[in-house]
Amino acid sequence: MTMLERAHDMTPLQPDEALYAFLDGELDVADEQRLFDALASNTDLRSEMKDMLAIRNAVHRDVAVPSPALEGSLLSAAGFTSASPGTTTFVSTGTSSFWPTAAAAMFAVATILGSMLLVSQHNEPSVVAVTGERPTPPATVQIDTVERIATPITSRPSTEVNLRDQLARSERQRAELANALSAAEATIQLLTDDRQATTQHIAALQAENNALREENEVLAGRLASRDRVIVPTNTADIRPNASLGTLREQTSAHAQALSTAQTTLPVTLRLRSLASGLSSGQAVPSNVTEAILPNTSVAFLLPLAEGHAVGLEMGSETFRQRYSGIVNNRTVEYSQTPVLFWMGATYHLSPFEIDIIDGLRPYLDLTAAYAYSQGPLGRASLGLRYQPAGPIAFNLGFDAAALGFQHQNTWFSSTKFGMTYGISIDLGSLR
Amino acid sequence: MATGTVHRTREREAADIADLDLYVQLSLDEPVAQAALSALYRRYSQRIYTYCRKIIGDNQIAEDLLQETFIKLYDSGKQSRQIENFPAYLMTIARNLCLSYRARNRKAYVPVEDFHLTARDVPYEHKELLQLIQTSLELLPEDYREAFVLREYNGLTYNEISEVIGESLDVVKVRIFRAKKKLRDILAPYLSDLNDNA
Repeated sequence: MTMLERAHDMTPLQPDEALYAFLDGELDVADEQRLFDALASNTDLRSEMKDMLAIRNAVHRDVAVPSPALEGSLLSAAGFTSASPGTTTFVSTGTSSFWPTAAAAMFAVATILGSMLLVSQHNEPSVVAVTGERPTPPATVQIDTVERIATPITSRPSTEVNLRDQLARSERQRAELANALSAAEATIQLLTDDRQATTQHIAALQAENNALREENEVLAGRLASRDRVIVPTNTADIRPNASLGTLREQTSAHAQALSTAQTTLPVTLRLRSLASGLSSGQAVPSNVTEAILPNTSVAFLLPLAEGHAVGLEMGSETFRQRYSGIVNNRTVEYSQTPVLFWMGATYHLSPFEIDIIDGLRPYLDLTAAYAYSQGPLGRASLGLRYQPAGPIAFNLGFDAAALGFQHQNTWFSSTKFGMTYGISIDLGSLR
Repeated sequence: MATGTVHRTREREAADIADLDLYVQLSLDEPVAQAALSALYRRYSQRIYTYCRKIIGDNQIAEDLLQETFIKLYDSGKQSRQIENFPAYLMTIARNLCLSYRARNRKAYVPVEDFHLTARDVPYEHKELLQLIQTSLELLPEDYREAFVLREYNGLTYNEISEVIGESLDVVKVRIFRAKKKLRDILAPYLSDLNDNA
C-alpha cells in the first residue's frame, strides 16, 4: 500500500497534498506516477506547482550569513583565550603595505572571475525541481549580481529563447567582468601613486631628520665647549633612522637637558663688595682701615630654577650708628662705626637675558641676616650681571642695607646706600 | 606563527570529522574543543542564523541568539550529554531560545485570512519576490511559519522537524502543507503576473 493509497484509505490525500509531499521529497516513489498523471491532466495543479517552485527557488536564494566577527566573539564568550576566528589581519606600515594590498586586489579580481565562471556553469536549468530531491541549503553565499534562472516545471518555449537568455547572461557577465577589471586597475593605479608619494615623503623626512641631527650636534658641541658642562644626554642616542616625530622629541628633550644642565649647576660662589655708608669727605675710622676685607661678603648659591637661586651669605661691613642713651639722668648722643660680622640667607633673581649683549642679565639680590652682638640686617641689591663666557660672571649694582640694634632696651636703626660689585663663579662647571 | 599553523591544521582536521565526534571533542582540552566548536559553528551557523532570522525577524537579535545557541551547545558538550541526532539537537536549542525570546517580546500579527496581496501592491521585479515571501511569512501563524522555515530554509526532513518541534509526523505534514498553501494564496496575484511576464 502506497502513501497515496494509505491516504485515500485513511485520510484522503488530495493531489495538491501529494504535490507538496513530492516537492519536499517525502512522497513515495510508487505514488509519483499517479501524481504525474494528475499533473498532466490538471492545469490548476500545474500552475500551483509552478508557483511553489518559484517560491522555493526564491527561498533558496535568500541566503544570509552572520557577521564574520561573530565567530571570534563566540569563542571568546565560550572562554577560549586564543580565540581565532580564522580571519587574517594584515598589519602594514609604510611602503610594505603596497604589495600585500595589490596582491589582495588581484586575488579579489581572480575570485570574481572564478565565481562568475562557476555560476555560469551552474546556471544551466536545474532539474532538482522535477526530480523532487530534498532541497539542501547552500553552503556558501551566492553572488547576487548574477541572476539564477529559476526553471519552471514546464519547459521554456523554444531553444531560441534559451539561447537568447544565455546570450543576455553572457553579456551581463562580460559587462560585470569589465567593470571589475576596471575597478581593479584603478585600485592598482591608486596604490602605485600612493607608493610614489610615500617614497617622496620618506625622503623628505630623512632630509629633515639629518638636518635636525646636525643642528642638535652643533648645539651640544657649542654648549659643551662654552660651559664645559657635562651633558646628561648624548647625541648618539638620536638614531639616524628615527621618525621625524621621534627625532623632534629627542631634540627637544636634549635641548631641555642642556638647558637644565646650564641652570642647575650645583653651587655658585659669589664675592662682592658692599656699600660702606661713608661719604667720600668723611674720615675712615681706624677700626675700619685695620679690618680685613671690610664691606665684603661671600655667598654660596644653589639654583632653584631658571634664574632663581638661594644660598648662604656672610660678610663684614661697617655701619654708622647714631643712638642715644641715659647716663646719670642725662641724655647722651652716641656715634660709632663698628665693623660687624653677619650671616644669613640670600635670594638671587636673574630672570632674563638682555638682548643687546650676549650674557648680560639684570639681577636682584635680597638678603636677610643677623649681625652678631647687634641685630637683624636686611639688604637689597639691584644691578646687572654679565657672564661673557665660562663660569665667571661679574656683578655691578646699587646696594641698600638696614641694620636694627638695641641700646638700653631701645631699638635704633641704621641705613646705608652705595654701589656694589663682585664676581660669581659657577663651581659646578669647574668639575 | 607556529600557533597559527597548529590552529589551521586542527581546523582542517576538524573539517573532516563527523558532527557527533566534534560534539564529543567539546569536552576535551581547550585547543581541541576550540577547533571542534569552530568547525561546528562553520557548519551550522548559517542554518541557525537563517532560522533565528526568519522566526524573530531581526538580524541583530538573530546573531545574539545564534551565539547563545552555540554557547549552550558548548556547555552541553562539556557536560558530555548524550545525543543522537546532532542537527536536530542543535536546532532544538536554537528553537527553544527563539521561543523564549518571542515569549518575552510578543508581537501582534494580522490574521492571514484577512490579508491578500494584489498585483497593484507590489512591484514587478522578480527580485522583490524574496521580500514578499518574507512579508508573507510574518503573516503566517507562528507554528506554520516555523514548520515552513525548518523545511525550506533549513532543509530538515519531516521526521527531523517532528523531532525538533516535538510534534507528531502528521502534525508536521499538516503544518507545512498549510503554510505553503497560505503562502501561495497570499502571493498568487503576484506570481500570476510574474509567470505571465516570463
